[in-house]
Amino acid sequence: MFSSIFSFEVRRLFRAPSTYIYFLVLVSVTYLLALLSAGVFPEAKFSFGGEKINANSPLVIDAFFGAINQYVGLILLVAIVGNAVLKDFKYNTYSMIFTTPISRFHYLAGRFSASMFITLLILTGPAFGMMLGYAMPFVNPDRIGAFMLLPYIQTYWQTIIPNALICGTIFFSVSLISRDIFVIWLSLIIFFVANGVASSIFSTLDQQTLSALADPLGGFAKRTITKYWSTYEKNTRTISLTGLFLYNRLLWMAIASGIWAIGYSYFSFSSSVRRISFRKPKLTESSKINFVPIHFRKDALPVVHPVYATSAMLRNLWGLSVNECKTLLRNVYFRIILLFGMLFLFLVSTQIGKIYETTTYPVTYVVIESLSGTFSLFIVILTILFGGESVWREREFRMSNIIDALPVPNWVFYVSKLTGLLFMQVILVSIVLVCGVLVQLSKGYTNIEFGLYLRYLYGYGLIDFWLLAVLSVFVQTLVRNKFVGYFVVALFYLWNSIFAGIVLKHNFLIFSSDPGVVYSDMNGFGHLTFGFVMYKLYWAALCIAIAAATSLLWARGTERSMKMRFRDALNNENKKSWVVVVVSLLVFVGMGSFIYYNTHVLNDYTTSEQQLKELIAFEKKYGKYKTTPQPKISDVQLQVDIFPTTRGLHASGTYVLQNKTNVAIDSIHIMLPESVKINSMSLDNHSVLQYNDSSVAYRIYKLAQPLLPDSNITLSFDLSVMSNGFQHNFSGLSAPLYNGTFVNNQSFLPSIGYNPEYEVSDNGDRKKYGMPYRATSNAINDSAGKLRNLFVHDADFINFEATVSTEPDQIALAPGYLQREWTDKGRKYYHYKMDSKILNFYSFLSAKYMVKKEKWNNVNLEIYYHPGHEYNLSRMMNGIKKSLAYYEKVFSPYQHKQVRILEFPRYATFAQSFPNTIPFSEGIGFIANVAGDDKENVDYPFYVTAHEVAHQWFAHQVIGANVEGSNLLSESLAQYGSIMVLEREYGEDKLRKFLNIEMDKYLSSRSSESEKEKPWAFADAGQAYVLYQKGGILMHAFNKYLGEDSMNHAVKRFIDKYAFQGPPYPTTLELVQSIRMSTPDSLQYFITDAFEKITIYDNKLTDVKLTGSGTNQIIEVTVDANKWYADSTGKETLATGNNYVEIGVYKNRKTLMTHQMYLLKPGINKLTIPVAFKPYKVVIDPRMLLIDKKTQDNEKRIDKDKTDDKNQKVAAL
Amino acid sequence: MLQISNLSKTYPNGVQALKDVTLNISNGMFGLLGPNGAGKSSLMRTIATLQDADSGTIVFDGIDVLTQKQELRKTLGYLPQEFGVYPKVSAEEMLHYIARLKGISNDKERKELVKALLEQVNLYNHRNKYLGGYSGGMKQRFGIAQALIGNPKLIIVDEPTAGLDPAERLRFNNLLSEIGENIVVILSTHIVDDVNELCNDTAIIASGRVVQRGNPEDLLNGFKDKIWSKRVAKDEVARYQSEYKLVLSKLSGGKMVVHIYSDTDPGNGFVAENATLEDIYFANIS
Repeated sequence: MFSSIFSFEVRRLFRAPSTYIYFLVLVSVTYLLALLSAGVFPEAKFSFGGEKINANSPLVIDAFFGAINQYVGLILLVAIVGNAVLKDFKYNTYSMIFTTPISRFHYLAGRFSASMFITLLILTGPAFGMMLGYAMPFVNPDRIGAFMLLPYIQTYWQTIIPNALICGTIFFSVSLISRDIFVIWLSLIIFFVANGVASSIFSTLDQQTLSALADPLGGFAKRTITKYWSTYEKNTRTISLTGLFLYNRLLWMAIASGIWAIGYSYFSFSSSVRRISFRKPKLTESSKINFVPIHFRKDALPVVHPVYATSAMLRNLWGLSVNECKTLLRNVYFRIILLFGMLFLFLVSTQIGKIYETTTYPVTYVVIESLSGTFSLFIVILTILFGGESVWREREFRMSNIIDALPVPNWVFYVSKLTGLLFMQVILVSIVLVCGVLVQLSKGYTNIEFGLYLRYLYGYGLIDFWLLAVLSVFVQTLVRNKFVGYFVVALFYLWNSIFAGIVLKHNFLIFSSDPGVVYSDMNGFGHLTFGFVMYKLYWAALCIAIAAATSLLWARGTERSMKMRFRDALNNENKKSWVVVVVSLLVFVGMGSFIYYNTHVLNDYTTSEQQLKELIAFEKKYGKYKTTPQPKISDVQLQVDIFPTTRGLHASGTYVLQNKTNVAIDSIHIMLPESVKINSMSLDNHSVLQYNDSSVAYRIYKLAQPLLPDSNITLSFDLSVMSNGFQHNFSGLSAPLYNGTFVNNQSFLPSIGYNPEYEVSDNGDRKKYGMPYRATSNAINDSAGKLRNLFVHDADFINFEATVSTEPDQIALAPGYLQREWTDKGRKYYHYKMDSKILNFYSFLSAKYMVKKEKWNNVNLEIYYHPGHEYNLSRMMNGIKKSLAYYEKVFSPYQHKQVRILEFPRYATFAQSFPNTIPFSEGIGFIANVAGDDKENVDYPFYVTAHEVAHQWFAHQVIGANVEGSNLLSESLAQYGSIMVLEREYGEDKLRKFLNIEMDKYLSSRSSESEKEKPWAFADAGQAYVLYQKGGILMHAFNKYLGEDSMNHAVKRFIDKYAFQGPPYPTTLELVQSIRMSTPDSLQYFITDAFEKITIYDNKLTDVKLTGSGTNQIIEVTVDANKWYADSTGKETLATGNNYVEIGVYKNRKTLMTHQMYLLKPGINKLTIPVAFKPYKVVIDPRMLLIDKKTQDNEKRIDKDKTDDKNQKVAAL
Repeated sequence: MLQISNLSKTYPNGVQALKDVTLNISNGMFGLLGPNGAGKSSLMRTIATLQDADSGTIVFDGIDVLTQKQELRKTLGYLPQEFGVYPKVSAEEMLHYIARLKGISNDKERKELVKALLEQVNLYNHRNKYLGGYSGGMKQRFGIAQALIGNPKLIIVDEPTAGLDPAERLRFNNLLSEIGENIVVILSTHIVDDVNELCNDTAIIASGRVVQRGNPEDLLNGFKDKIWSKRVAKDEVARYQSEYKLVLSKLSGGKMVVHIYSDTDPGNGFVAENATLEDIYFANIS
């Protein structure tokens, strides 16, 4: 029985052309993906997990294979497996089959296994597509590694087959229970979305195991294996079926069997087409009534007065629209999707605004962004689905014959359908509002900004959905089949939201696009509103034209060929619609021109490709001046006027330039950002402007007399920065803002000499344009590099003085001490002066600030903040105090008499230390909910403050040379300072959570390094994961290995020697030297490992045993200790030599009681640890001092029962 | 009133549904008789503005149907051959919806009209029930009710009795017979009795052509004394078909009866038969 059902089914599927089409689609899509990843299309930059990962590395193969199957594969499963039984109902063959004497099991198992078998065959397609693609002769050979068959087989066997079985079973069982294809598609959508949302929720570190097991497709489990793989490993290792991945597969296969059994038990050979049916039985009239003749009297009908005027139609339209909307809202599937959407909203709300796994307060904008981001996917799905649903409803229910012959113009039908859809979207958006308010209230937050909800959701959010609705109905009107329509709209949506931006580059070609809007509590929607509205008017005009065209081409009647519809559309009856089409197209073109004028004429827009070409041209033209001797800035005097309302800036001032070289200088090169307008500029001593390239603002002044060594010359200038119209892309802090201006000197003031920062640094791009190889940074012994500091090439330490003015309701700030404050002609003026020399790196801010002032040991502490953002001010204040106290005690005195934190809008999310002035983004820390429900939360406002205050030492006292590794001197040392302050404030336990996050960040970032990982001492500025994460962990480790005093003394010695020094500036070598001086010989290896090598430990606790009792307990510990050195690609070699490793014993799950250093040899070590308390677990390196790739096997619980058991056995022997 | 001139239509798949159809139809019930696939529905849909013709014109009361669709729809009542209903919508709701679309925007008028219609077609008791649960006859009565909304001058009723049981059919025809005064009602059917019972004017259409045209009485007169019948064995039918102008053969009490057309008495056991529309129908379509 089974075999005949199976073979009949397989033969049938083999005859179906769709089987081959599916297979070919899979082959060709993956073929293209393979070509794309193998660099066949150089325009499309595409890399997966790092630029150095081969296109055919096992990881990429697994990812492509898996991803294609996860999306296309699931659809195939629904189409083939989901229909395996349903087709008997669809084609009414069930009545024949169910009356044969086959058993239920044979029937279901036969159908299931046959459809599964064919699906699995089809799903081999991606493997062939990829193999074919990678074997093409025209792929970029740099991107391809050696061919391996194993990864294809492994992925197919470990991922594709189990996933297909799991999902196939689910869809099969759903089909058995519901007997409705729509329900299966619905379950697919729910499966997709649930998976996506769940993955975003369960992504925190401590839920790794749970999420690895809970993910039915096994992606998470796989990620726990590959997460920290280095480039080398990614290119060579295959994913083996072990650990969590294996358990995940077993678990879900078991669940799948259960689901199959449920489906099986639900199914019976009954004829009811739908199991879930709400239908009532048919009405019948008794035969008696049937023979009563009907006396119909037409003349007895009441007299009515039909009105066909447009005004009457408009009145009707409302009723019809409400009717449409009601129909949509009554739809069962609509309600199910909606319920799921709301469920996800509440799930998402627990994760609001997480940084360092700490949430923020449910401030209105955060809640809106978090919830509407999640929900918009649901709105898009519902819009696409019900766009089709409402267009096709009449035809599906065969009502169109009646409806189409009614005296109603097309536009009434169209507008009522569209309005129903738009209205549905309004309701959906309102659900975000309601859920948002509920979320806020449930968290005890009551400052609910309803105005912001309305503006954000309806003003900025809704329009995109509306535009999509117009498009969706348009497409559905043109196509011959609803599902084709869905497909076309979904495809367009994907294209438009993901690929169009890459391909088309200009956003006025990308449907429904805009330059981007970011809400900030400080600046509201600010200057971004104007551009947004103009873009949306532009798209709305297009959509009105589309809408009018849709109504003209509305499918009506029984024959709906496009030819006939066009003939109807050209009918005289439709003149008005054509007027609408033409007028709105004119508006569309007009708005388009206006947008072009704003984005391309008033403002500059260059594509990244053009920009690259310009930079290359710049380097080719001016690179020859790289070594031309130039003077350096020694004094800066400025008058900066900020105009928030017009978003303009006026700056005048003087630089004193000093010739610090030993040759006479005869010409001075001056560069300016292109956007700056030069009102005047002059050098004294009758210098003349010899060369002026205004396109890149490069000027060369010829001096009347050469500038002799050590002599000075003054540069005077008067500049303006103007904001005109709106820009093509999101523009945040680049120019003054209505509220929250934050500009630094490099963005609008002149600099001296050729600036090598403008050179293209990506060597792939350089190669393409025939430029020579350029090292990512200067070599550590580069003597020219040592003459410049890391931040600015045209100055060392300078004297600084500035007067800043702004509008009267704002406060304007610059580094320095406030000398005087006055009002003149309705503007506020602030005169700031610095008392000591600073780096040539300063900023100007202006906003409507509130100020919190405190004093600590004669240092003025001030926080300038946006009213309403008071939550964490005292944490920040505390951070400043604790930092100053610690740094002054262990490093050196603070060079200033004030510390100011200045809040700026969240267009950028960083804090940055300028001399005694710390601009701090509203997006980090100001609204963090540190005191929230989780006691383990990292107090990152405190930590970030401590980091920035540390920069007053590490950057503003000691600044490194412009060579590789120098960022360590500012970032890693600042990280060290803040970690120590954090540890003193919150204790070692809490620091461990922080270090754990940092460890994960380091290991996973190095895994996707795009160039090559450099050892810490030589790290580039771009390698933040080395500088911050690895640097922080290692500095903290030094502190523990060398002892706090020795370590701090080493840093202090370095500061004492190099503070305010330069040129020549120090490099990391000097720091390493100072630390080595404080390090005993036995630990010198540790310094070498940290700074000069990439060292990864792989320690493992293989066994723990407790013997003895009371105060004589001894834990016998077996440790497998290994240390690896990685090269720049991550290829590892085992290190010889012994290492000091800490081993700790816990009293309970959280409390570390003792820890002790042990010198371990490579491989197995057996140790005994005496304990005087009841031990709970043993942990290798409990304080996270070593970079260890796998910390899960670093601990073992002491199993009391088991130990007792063994003791008894020993006693019995 | 309704002038159809030289109407032709070929579908994209090559089927020629209408071939040079010319008909003049005046007030009253007009029966369009023809077998399935004869082109009845194509003609009906073309008149009802639901599809276009390749050539020819249709003019109703001065309205050019093919170009002034909107104008025609204002005076049209249409009961399609086949129509479905929205799920979970009651008869009353649906009539209100259609009345609104037919331009009856005055709430009071509409309410009265809907009520009256429901009463007249005997559906008032079921007005709140979902249409999906209606029996065939009830659904067709609902169909005629919606067609009558807004004083139509032209009513097209396409195969209304197909699928109804005999009692429902009678009841429905009864209803239909009352509405044909002072307006044009076109009834298409393949059931000869429908035309017999209801129409004062008829056309027989086959393979897209009008093959007979006239008052049923006149048509019958034309066939008077020309139809002869005989009981024969089943295996003899083929022989009779080749020897005579066979009009139809049907079963009667397990034996075959053949009708033939002959101007004179064919003898050979044939007896004179009263011609019925059925004979005319079959004589024309064979």
